[in-house]
Amino acid sequence: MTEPEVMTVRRNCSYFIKRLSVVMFMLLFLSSSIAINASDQAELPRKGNYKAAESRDDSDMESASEADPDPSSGSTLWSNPETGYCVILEDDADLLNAEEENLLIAQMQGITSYGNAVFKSISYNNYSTSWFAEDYYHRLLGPESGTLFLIDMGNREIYIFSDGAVYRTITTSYANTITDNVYRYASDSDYYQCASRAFEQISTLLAGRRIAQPMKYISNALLALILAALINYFVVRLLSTTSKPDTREILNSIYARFTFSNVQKKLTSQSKVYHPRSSGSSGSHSGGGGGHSGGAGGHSSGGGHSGGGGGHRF
Amino acid sequence: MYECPNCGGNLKFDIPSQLLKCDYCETIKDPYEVTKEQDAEENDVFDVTIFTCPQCGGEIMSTDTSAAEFCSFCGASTILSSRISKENRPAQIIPFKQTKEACKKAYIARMKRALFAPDDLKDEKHIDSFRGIYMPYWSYDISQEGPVHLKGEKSYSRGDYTYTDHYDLSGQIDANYNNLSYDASASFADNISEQIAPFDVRDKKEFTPSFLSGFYADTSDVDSDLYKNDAIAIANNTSYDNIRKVPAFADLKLSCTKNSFAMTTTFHTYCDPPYRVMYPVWFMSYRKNDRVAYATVNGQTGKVAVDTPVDPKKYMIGSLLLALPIFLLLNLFFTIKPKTVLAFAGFLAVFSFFIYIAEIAAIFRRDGHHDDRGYRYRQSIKEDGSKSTKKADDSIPLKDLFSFSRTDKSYRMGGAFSAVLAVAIAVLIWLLNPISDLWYYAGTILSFLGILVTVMDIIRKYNVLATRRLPQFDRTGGDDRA
Repeated sequence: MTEPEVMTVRRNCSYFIKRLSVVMFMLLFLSSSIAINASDQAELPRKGNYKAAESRDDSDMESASEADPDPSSGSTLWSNPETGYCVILEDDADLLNAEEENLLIAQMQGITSYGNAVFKSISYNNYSTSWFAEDYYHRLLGPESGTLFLIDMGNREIYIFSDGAVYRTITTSYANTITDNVYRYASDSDYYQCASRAFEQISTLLAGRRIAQPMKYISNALLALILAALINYFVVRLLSTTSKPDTREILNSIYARFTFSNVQKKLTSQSKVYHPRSSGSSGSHSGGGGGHSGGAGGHSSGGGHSGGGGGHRF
Repeated sequence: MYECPNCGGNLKFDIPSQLLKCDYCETIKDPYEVTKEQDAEENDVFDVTIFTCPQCGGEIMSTDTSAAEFCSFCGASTILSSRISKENRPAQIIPFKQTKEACKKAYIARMKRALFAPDDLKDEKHIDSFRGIYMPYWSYDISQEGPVHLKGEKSYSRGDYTYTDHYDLSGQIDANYNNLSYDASASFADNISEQIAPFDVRDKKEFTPSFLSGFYADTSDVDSDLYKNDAIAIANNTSYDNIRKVPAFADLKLSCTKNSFAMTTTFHTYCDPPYRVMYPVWFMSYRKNDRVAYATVNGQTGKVAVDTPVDPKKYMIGSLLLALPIFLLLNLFFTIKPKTVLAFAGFLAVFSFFIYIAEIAAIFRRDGHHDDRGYRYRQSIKEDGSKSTKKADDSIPLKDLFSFSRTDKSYRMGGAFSAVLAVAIAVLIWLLNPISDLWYYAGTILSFLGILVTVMDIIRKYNVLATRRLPQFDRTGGDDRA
């Protein structure tokens, strides 16, 4: 290669490197802008009655760990731009580290195609876990579709509550199955694995695939064996019984004759007893009813919601 | 034996033709034409050969003299001792209508329902041992004739008053209930005779001993008055129901109670002296160890009653097979938590305990012949000479059950303790309330095993119930081992 040719190659390489640097810089700038936008968007409250999220610190955790299921402490960490459903993670019992929280948030994002995904942990609870979960979810998201995974350190119980469209898939039975599948992680204090596996199985079901249901099959198999042993006994008794003839059959097989003639019916006396209709409370007047059904109060766990869930102690 | 006038062979009753037929030359004769001198109608007795089982003392009679090779009552395969005797002549007889082949077919059809019965019961060789026996019955003719006076009343409301109209009701009753029949043999258990009943008495014929040719007959040893009140009660109740349906009385409440004694007076109920009749029964016994099971087929209608023991192995296999569809069905509808399954197991263990006790009580009644009035009548005569015709008390004191369970290993209540243990395990784990599912699974498995032991013992008890003690007729001989 001649001297001028070497120089030309060097100039071209230098040009290529400069161009590549510019492109990379632009890409970096773009990605950081998207990240900043996303983070800004995540910090926006989703609902009118939902207080703006604040960055969590230790004092927040302590206050959120109280028994009152106060949804104001919830924080929307990611919102699905297509569906509007969001990811909310509130680790009030401080069971997850920052990395685990990020991983869990990433995993929960898949659920937002179908409904909201909420993770909640509490360290103290005055109520039952199921009541807390339902009440918390409804205060936080109302009747919206979604699912909540709750780790209740006070009652040592994990619980999945679902509502709306998600509940049609993550039924009470599946909630029981999933919590049964993952409670051992919570027993081993591996709360991230516990929540992660739970959300993974929820995602699997929502995607229309199947999950392992060992509890269902073992329980049903044992119950089926017991029932079969007992039912068979009644089958034996039923099949070995020969019915005895009733009176009609007996009369049909013998010479039977009955006549009753010169029938007379003579009224001899009449008695009457005073039975006022208005006395007593039964009568035809039923009363009651009325349209006033009373106030619903603050807690609206019923009222047409179709939600439900299941849990497991750990 | 009735000799054939043509060849001297044995004339036997031929079921399809309802006539006597020679085994050899197929000569046909009317049963009323072929009579021995001593069979004449004016005689109250006729000649028979009485066969007696050396083991159980059961007696069976025949007009033939050929040796009987097994006992229908205890199932013993032995040559029965025989003696010539004279037997009281029954008034009427319903000849066999069902051939042995038809009887076997009816039995096989019935045994198809017995899914868990031992194979021996379905064995062709065993089925061939059906024996045609004429069973003695007491027949009661009840008549009611005369004026009937009853009180009736009708209540209705008008305004604030409830009015009651009182009526005198009267009419002329004319009713007959003829041929109400009850078995007259202590060896023929009441529950069997009830199950294969009724016999259609419109097929009855005047008795002549030649009808028995080719068959056996049981002897009657139960007092004629034993079932008299039962027959009267059927007549009274039927008439009472019919009077209530008289259009003029339809809207009235009759003041006459359904008390049989009161109705007997009101309806002028009269029972003619009962008379003996013979009804056809195909009879087979199945003996295993110290128990015997009976299969009986109504020789007129083909109705079948079978003591059906259960083969425990078949039962286990059947239960496993049944568990599969139940499992699939449960999977379709239920997801049950382990703790709930344990609770179910505990509940089902309690349930199996009560089934067990009910089974023991039923065995107590069966083996104590509490429901067999014919047997109890004979026993009362044997023990104190009295003629007890009362039904046994329905209630069974628990202490009697426990003392009964100690009399024989067949009656021991070991299975009940397994159910109790299963309940205890379920309750204990429920109270401990452990977190791990494994505890509940282990508890459920232990409860299941407890229930299984109980159920298998229930099946053993059921087999005791589905069979009978070897009979002890105490007529002659008898087997002390039974």
